[in-house]
Amino acid sequence: MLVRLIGLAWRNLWRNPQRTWLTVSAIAFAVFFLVFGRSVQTGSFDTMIDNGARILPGHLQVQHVKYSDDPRVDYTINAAPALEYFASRDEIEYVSARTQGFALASMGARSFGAQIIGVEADTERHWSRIASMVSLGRYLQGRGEAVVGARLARNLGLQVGDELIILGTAKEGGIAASSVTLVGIFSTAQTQLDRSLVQIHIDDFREAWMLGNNEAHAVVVMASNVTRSEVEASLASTQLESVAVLAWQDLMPQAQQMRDMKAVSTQLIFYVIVIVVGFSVVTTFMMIVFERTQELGVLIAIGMKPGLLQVQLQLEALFLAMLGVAIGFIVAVLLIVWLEETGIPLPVEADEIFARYNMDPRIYPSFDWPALQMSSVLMFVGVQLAALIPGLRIQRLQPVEAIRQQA
Amino acid sequence: MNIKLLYQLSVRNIFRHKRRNIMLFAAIAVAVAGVSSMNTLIRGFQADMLDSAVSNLTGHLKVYAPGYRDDPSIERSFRLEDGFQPDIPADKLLGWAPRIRVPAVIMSERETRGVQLVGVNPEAESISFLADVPIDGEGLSATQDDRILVGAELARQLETKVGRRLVIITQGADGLNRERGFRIAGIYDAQGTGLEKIYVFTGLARLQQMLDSDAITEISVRLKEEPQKASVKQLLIETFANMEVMDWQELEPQVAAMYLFADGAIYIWFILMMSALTFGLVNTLVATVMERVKELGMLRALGMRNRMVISQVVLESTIIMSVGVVVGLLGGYLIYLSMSDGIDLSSFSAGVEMVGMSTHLQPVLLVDDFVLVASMSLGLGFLASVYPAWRAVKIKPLDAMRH
Repeated sequence: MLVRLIGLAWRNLWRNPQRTWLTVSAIAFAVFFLVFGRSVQTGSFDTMIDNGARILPGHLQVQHVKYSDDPRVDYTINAAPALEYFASRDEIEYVSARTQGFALASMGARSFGAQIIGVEADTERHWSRIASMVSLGRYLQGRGEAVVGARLARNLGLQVGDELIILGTAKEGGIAASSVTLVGIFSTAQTQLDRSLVQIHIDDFREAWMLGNNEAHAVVVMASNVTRSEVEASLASTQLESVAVLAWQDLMPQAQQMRDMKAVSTQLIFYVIVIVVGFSVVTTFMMIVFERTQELGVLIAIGMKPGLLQVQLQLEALFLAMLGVAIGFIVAVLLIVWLEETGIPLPVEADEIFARYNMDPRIYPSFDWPALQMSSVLMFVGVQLAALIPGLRIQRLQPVEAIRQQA
Repeated sequence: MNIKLLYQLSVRNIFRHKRRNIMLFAAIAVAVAGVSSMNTLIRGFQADMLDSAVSNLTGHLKVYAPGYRDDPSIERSFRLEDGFQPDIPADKLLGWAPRIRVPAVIMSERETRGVQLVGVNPEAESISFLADVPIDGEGLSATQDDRILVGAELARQLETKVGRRLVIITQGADGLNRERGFRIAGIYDAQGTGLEKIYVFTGLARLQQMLDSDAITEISVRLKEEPQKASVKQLLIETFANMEVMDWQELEPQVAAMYLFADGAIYIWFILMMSALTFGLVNTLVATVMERVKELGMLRALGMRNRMVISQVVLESTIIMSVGVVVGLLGGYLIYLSMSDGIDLSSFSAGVEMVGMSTHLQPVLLVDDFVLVASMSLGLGFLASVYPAWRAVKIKPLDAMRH
């Protein structure tokens, strides 16, 4: 019986191919919108987070518990055990120690406040975007060298080869002083960094700020698929005490929140589209029932149970939803696969804005499975409901009147 | 052509399928309500972005000495005559403020930070965020006030509080560094935004004394209405012949571009919603034509012209659309009213700051947007009726009678 109903439902669908295709298109459009839209968003956020991590914070940092709230020079950790631990793990791309502090950067009579970061240049040069964004000169190679942001260089009147004096407050209130040679100038499109960041060799920093050989303010890890809880759990068993593990979500809260905010607004729009499409599908089924009033009357008159006719209608709805979801999904996948290669170019005028949000001039979508799950479930349920409402008329159909009705 | 007859025909056709058309009205209404209420949020976002950009010491227009933007120091400054008043009509000007803004280093007993030291005339600062933020302690009282106002976040980092002293180092007019102690008059709370870490305020006259200068580095002008900035900018260029006069779009190009993007977003949402709707609309219109093949064939046989047939389908579509749009706009307005207290985005505070917004999103209703949505929807209703009308015209009287 069910097999016959399925056959009937499928054939009924193609009695009016135009209407079927229009309805399927509406469903496909909604699915396509959500799957494609979310994939583009996921792709752009992945880039944003990766680029953001590469500009300075990395994917994960281990710090003194109090440091992130109150970045004092005194809150250091012993970097050795953490470095050792991360070096032993295969999925870690890079790991290195960092020291950071605030100081006065002077050239001749001019002075500006600056954020001084001591880095292990040999490691950071491989992943840091500061290193790849050096526009004049080169990145750090050894001791006694510094790279600074373009705006700071301009404000200080610094040129590659000049001597830069750094004066700050060392550990336990001493004076931190260092003289370094400028070897490179970077421009990141992020005003804040270009205006205030100076990178020097970590050992120069330790010497000036009177820190020990293994002392650091952060151990910076590049590894996109290691979670905080995992690291926390395994670090707990080492001798490291009172350290905090910060993942990119903590290091770049704004990126995480922007992602959540966008997701909420996309979902809102999707719900409205689902409702709009839902109403359209209801009208489709109203038309179907209306057109077939006569034939439905005949079927009931010769003994067909109204319940079975309802089942047949729901089967039609199922086919519509299946076709719609499949087409929407296939079109979205084809487009995503193609764009994963080529990327979506963004308007050139917007380059600067996107650079500010750590985005590339092209967006590479990355497939978002939850969006497909959510949109197909909603569509299947919605279309079933849409078929149910006009189907109620079948239950109340009087065969004699129905047969008499002009279609 | 008999318009009244056409209208009657269309309305009766719509009433023939009451329930089906109610569904269609509902679909249109939901789409229109969705788009129009989304618009009020986007406009709110824009207004907020503009407001933050303009009140963050930028103003609608700014006057700088040449070269200051590349090299922000007191050496790139200019003098105002005593009792200077900018030559701007009073009905356009909200206020103007002269300032010195120079980079400086600020130190407490424990910590050191880099900041922008801003010398202000407190009475003139009603145009900037300084007038709106809550202050713990006291605000600055006069341009001679020798105390400072610092942001809450900076105060926290420096581990200091109201009444304590901080040392500020900055470069004087002769290029040499000055170092001086300042007492904290008050701590301002700019809702945790980045402003708190950047700006430290003191009296303008006092800062001039410290820097050995009688000049200022900028004038910020706030207007009553944003669109007036073009004409006022021209006035300022004439007054300050050798200076750089810039509007907020030039000063904050990123905000200006985001602002334009938001304009575009309004059209994108409209196209998305309406595309979803069009399938159902065309579907129903084609059905109403096809259900009436016999009747239309009869009318054609009796001499009804193509033009009449087309007009009738178009009119039907337009009426359906109009009803849906009216209900939808009403719905959009109700949603707007329900959001009139604003939406709290504080759980996304860092994210919204990144895009230049505050944590409180206040929707803004522009009548123009409602008119735009309505007219675009009606245009779409017209377009959607083209294919069904064409189908209706294609009906041959003979075939139809045989149907």
